[in-house]
Amino acid sequence: MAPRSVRLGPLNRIEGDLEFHLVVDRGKVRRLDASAVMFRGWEIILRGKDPWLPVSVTPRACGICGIPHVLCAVQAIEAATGTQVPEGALLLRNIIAATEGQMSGIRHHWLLFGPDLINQRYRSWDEYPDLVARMQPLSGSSYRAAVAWSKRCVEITALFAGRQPHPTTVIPGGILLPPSLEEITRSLATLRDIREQFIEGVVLRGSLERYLELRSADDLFRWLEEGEQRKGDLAFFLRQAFTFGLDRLGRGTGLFLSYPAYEYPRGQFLYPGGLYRSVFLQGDRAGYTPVGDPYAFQMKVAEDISCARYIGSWRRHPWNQETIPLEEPEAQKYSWAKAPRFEGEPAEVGPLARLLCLGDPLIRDLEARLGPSVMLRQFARIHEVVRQTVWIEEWLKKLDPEAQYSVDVPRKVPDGKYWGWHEAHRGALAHWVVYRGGKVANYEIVSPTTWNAGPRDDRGRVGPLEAAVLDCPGKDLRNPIEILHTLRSFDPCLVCTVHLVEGGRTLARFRLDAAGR
Amino acid sequence: MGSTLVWLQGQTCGGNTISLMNAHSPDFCGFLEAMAIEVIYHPSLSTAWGTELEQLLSDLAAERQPLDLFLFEGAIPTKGTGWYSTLGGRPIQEVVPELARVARYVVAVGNCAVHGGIPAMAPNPTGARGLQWSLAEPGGVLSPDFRSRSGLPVINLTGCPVPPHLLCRALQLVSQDRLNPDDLDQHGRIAAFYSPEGGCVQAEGCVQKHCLHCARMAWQPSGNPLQEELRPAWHPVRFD
Repeated sequence: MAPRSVRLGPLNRIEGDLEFHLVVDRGKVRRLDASAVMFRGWEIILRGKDPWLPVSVTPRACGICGIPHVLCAVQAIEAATGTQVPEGALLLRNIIAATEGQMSGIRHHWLLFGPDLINQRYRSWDEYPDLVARMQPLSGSSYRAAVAWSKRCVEITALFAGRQPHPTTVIPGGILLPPSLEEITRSLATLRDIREQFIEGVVLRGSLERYLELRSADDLFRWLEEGEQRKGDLAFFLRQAFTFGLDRLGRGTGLFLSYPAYEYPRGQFLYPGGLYRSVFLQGDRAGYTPVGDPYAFQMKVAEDISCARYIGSWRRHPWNQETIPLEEPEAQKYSWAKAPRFEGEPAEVGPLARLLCLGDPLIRDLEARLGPSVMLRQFARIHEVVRQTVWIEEWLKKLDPEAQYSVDVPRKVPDGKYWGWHEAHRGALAHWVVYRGGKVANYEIVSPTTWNAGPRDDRGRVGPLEAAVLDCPGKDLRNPIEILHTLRSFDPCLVCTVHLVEGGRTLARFRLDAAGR
Repeated sequence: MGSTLVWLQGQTCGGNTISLMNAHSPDFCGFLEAMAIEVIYHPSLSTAWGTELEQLLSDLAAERQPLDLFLFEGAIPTKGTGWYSTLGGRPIQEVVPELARVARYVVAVGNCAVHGGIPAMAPNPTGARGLQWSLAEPGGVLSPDFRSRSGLPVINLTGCPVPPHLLCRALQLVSQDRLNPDDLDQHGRIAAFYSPEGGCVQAEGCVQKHCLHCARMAWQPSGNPLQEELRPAWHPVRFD
């Protein structure tokens, strides 16, 4: 049978717009064009504007991760003006970023990724009825718990950031208003409730302290069999993943990238950033490379637009780019996303990437033993949600209402090239800015989903998402659940609009309702 | 009797959806249940996809299935073919009028859907517009004369994003058919949301730090050097 061209979509439960065009041959996906189909033009809008404007505008790039954007935006101004924010501001910035990120992780697994777990493909599993009772959209017990408790996370965000989405208190120089004792106490109480009722009550069905003792895959497998833990959502997910091979699905390229993030005390970063090559996939090239000199590290980032919908065909560092959108389609330019490359290679970003760079022993052991996969990406996401509870509490307890939380910053920004970076929930995020004549001369944002879901480059190299889907079976295109799991495991911030067409002929309608019937 | 709801997105950050998910007491699941609102489609909540979704949109446009509440989030690009935001390969500027025409109520959720928002900031590279306004000018993808089946214009929920309790209150009013043309101001907003009786305390000296409820405030609190200086650069539109 000849290879077939297939378009997949409209898809959903991804934030943003993406289209898939596949070539399927002999039951496998042989080629994928992942097309980002929505464009707003941030770089064009910000050019020539006041350098402080990006502080309020760039959070609007994304409603679920506005804090990472605002942090990158203020960092660029702080770098340009030689500003050192007080350590109290570092703590508050960490708290608002981590609580917002925790919300994002919870909503991703239970609201966006989770409904696929009750797909009809799993109907024969003896745990399926219990699974449906938990994960059914809008009414499942775990779904409802995830809605309720993810909201509590951003109550803390909003106390210190002013509101969520879109912060109001983050300014160059620090945080606008100091925390009060009442706000700190309230946040600690809210965090305790999140830990006891959701983390321990729903996710782990066991104690947080016991979970944090796990250091290896064997520790985890033993823990999964302990008493009540079997009934927690995490154990449930892992059993399903191992039963149905999600631990061997969607491996990707095995090169992981992360940026330094969560600074406290000054000069020390909880997430050190760097590169990690998969032990499982990359053999003797495997292991961790730290950031080293930050300037030299970020100079290794470039974006390639050969397959992107912009005029020209170059590969350039963000400071040297010019973003001019096409007015009409051009065949080989299939995406509004550019193709980021680190030292010429595509790199995967996200919770798995940064935990590997951090050296989380459990995640590293799982990666080495089992390899990257849909299962490991989601496990890393949930694992981080759990660990964040401890980090946030530590930062809250260090807050002193009497300390300083902001310093004055000159309103005028000197000329030069600067950047700001952070680990958003979905992965490495950076803003690169060129200031000239007191204005923004160039502003380029490279978001985590651009790294993961960007198109091919001039050498035909595929990005992480395209590579992971190439791994997938392509037999059951009426219910391509493997492709859907793989896509969503990257938590793309793109609402995916995809149309299922086989070789020009629209396939018969199929239902994929919530119960998987 | 329940209401059917379809929520689509254009050029958006999705912040109004996140705002809805932040609803408290009840949370958004409880709210939808209590109001008997059935979400026929929302890109972040639904399992419908592929040809099922396209069939659904076609059934709604042809009135084979009733559409009570059509909610739209995000700006709509109109430059050229409008290919900067597509749904199933079709520019969103074509899809929106097909559903608006048959819906009982059309609601623009958030500034981008109301008047173009940030994508419409100069130089507006994609020709972004709102549903029924283009920044301060009447007329968007729908004309100023557009009225939905209920006889109302597009109901504009301003805010960046719209706060969850105002979105829920608006949904309650429309799902229960309790909104009259007199309740809307000259910009199609629910006037009561912006009065002191509606909860706004700006005149009383609100410092706008903790209030999740402010629909006036699109960006920074008082005392923040960004607010006053950058307001004109941010946006020429001030509806109040």
